[in-house]
Amino acid sequence: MEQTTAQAAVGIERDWADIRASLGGDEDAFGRLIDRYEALIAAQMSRLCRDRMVCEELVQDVFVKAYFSLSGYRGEAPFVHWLRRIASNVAYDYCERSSRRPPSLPLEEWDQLKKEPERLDADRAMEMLQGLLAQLGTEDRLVLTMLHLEECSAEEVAERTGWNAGAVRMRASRAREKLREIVARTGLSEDWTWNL
Amino acid sequence: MEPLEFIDRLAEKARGAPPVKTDVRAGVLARLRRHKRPWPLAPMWIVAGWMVPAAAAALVAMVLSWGALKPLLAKKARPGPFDEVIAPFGEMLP
Repeated sequence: MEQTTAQAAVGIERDWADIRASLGGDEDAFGRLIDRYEALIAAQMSRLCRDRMVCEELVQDVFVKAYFSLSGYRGEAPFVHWLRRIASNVAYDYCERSSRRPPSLPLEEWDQLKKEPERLDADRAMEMLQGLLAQLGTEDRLVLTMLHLEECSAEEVAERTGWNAGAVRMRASRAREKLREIVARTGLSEDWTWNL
Repeated sequence: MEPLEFIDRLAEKARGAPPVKTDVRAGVLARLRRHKRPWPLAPMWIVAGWMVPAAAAALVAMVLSWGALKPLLAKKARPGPFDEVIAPFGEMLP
């Protein structure tokens, strides 16, 4: 336990040193921050979108925004929490933009998957769920993505989005109801041959 | 299967999907360099800086030239010294 706390303290100190150097114009220092947290942010973004190009663009957006807001980072919370909050804002903007586009997996392909349920691996399941979530509103989609795919608690969602935890729970419950209606309407759950 | 159960089981399966691998360091640093560099804006400001006084000078020139032309045009509108002579002569023609 003590060792973990000590490691965290070293991590925070190392982040601070790189943040200060980045503010002083040291490009390599910011590069080190990118190396340290890229995988984490990419994992967060790949819960929203499976397209590598789009995912890279979103991760880049997070770090570019972080760089230009770096002077506003007060160090009250660990750098990674602050970065995740920026990532949530970028994710929100992405959901807002992509809500006007059709879902990534069209219904015809779902029908095809029904005929060959063995094709439904984790990647396909993710695409399928993203396609269903894309039919919800921006806030609903974001909340359910964080709760179901990133396995965040309501408190974590509240911290990242700046909403109230109670409001997150309320929104999640309503969003689930909407998603239930969508699934019932498409008849996806009626086929018991799904390899789930 | 109930729709909510279906969603939960689909989410459970989806969580097993590996994260998308990215490599953004070079891209981010290139974007930052582009943002930081002030020169792409400079030519625009130079053009704008010349266009504003040039437009103002053209406007002043137009006003002044109109001021100089106006009396000339006004004079031309008045009858000339031979108009009275020519007119009766013209009236005499068949």
